[in-house]
Amino acid sequence: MSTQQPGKGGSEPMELDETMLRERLDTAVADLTPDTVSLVTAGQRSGEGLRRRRRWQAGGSALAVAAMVGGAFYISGDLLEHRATGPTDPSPTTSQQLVSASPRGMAAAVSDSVDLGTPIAVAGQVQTEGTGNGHSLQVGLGYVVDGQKVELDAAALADLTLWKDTRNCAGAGSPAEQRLACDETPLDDGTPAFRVLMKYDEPGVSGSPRTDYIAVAAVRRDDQLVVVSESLRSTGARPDYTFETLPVPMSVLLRVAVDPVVGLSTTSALNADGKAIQNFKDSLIQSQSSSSGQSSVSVVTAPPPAPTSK
Amino acid sequence: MSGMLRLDDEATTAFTEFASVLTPRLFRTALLMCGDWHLAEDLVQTTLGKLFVAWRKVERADSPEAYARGTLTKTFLSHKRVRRNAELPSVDLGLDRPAPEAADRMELFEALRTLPALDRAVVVLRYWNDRTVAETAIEVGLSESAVRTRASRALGRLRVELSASEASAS
Repeated sequence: MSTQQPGKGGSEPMELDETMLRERLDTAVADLTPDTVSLVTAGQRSGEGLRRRRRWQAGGSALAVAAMVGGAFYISGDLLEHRATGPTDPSPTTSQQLVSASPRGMAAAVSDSVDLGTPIAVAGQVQTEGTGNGHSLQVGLGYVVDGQKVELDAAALADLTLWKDTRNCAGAGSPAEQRLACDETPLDDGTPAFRVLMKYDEPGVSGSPRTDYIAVAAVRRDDQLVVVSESLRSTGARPDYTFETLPVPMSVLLRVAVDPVVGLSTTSALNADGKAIQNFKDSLIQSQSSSSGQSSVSVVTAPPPAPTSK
Repeated sequence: MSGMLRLDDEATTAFTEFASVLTPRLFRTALLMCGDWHLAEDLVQTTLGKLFVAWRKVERADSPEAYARGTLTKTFLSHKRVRRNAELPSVDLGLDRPAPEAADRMELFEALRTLPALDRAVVVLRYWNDRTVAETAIEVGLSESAVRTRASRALGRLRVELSASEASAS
């Protein structure tokens, strides 16, 4: 603290000059230190979510849904040591007794439905507590499919009105985006559906270009919206993916999206399976209200990124 | 998995190193601007998220630090605009330890709190971050003359506020 305080104790304004102000500002915060590691980690994950939200929004998928979901998952390189066992009934139907799904249960359901073997990482969480319209579940699973790392994200939302904001295939994307395929044809049973495949070319560091692909399947089921996305990166020259040639084809994404045990409800067995998933990442993001009353998504608790083992 | 939606490893490492070095100063800047520990953390986190998304642009900037500080300032001012009709938050530094300098610190934060958000940003950039008038003008989006006017007015206001608080304390 400055020792030069001519005005101290007097009735006249002190002679606070720029130098004194600098000293006082400096002294006031000099010993205040934030948790830098947490802030940097949280900031990075917030950025990842922001980036993906922008891409989804630009891509014209179920965008209000995407805005909520945000793709804020962060799947670390941790490998699952043991995969949860699948449900006893390999082909669940709506006749099964369904219960509210936990994030772990939804992850187990997606894993079972996609049938790609053992995921290398799993994350998930409830976006909003409760069972009202704001209720949503999100999970992310990492796989290696034919040597290609693939991230599958699935979200289920109770607010059906969000479907109204879904853009159609005619919507314009961002300049960096190429829409390789888009289809808004309802499913055979009339279920509203939306499928899109987007490509992003980005200059990599050290002059190594890379291409990111995101495929999204969204369906409006009777009681919820379900969005399933597949994300992958290609660093070498290769033909563009199509719905059919994706490591996880669009048909599989749709199959997951309409699977009655994938979503806000699932079976007790899958919820139990979910409990057995090791290294499950949760509490990565939370919904919080800003001072303006608007809902936002931000990372609040996040461990430092684990070193990738791949 | 490597996180295909994230930057590649090299860029991520560069971002992390940059952010780790800069975060303490960004946080103190934010704290001086907003006077609230938790809000300062939120502002920094939001800023880092924006920097992460725009990392390649940040890297190419003449001064990545200035870019980051400008992003923080805009984030702060944007936050204040959103809640311009709301009551100013009380000063909350998240400190529970009594210290001889605590009173001085609180005095200063209370005095800063009486300034409009834009003036506070000008004061913090100009006098704590030692930015020139021209640099401050760019970072807050004002003309140089406006920065001079606001800085002078803010200094006068702080002079009065700090004198008053010290007089009442004596």
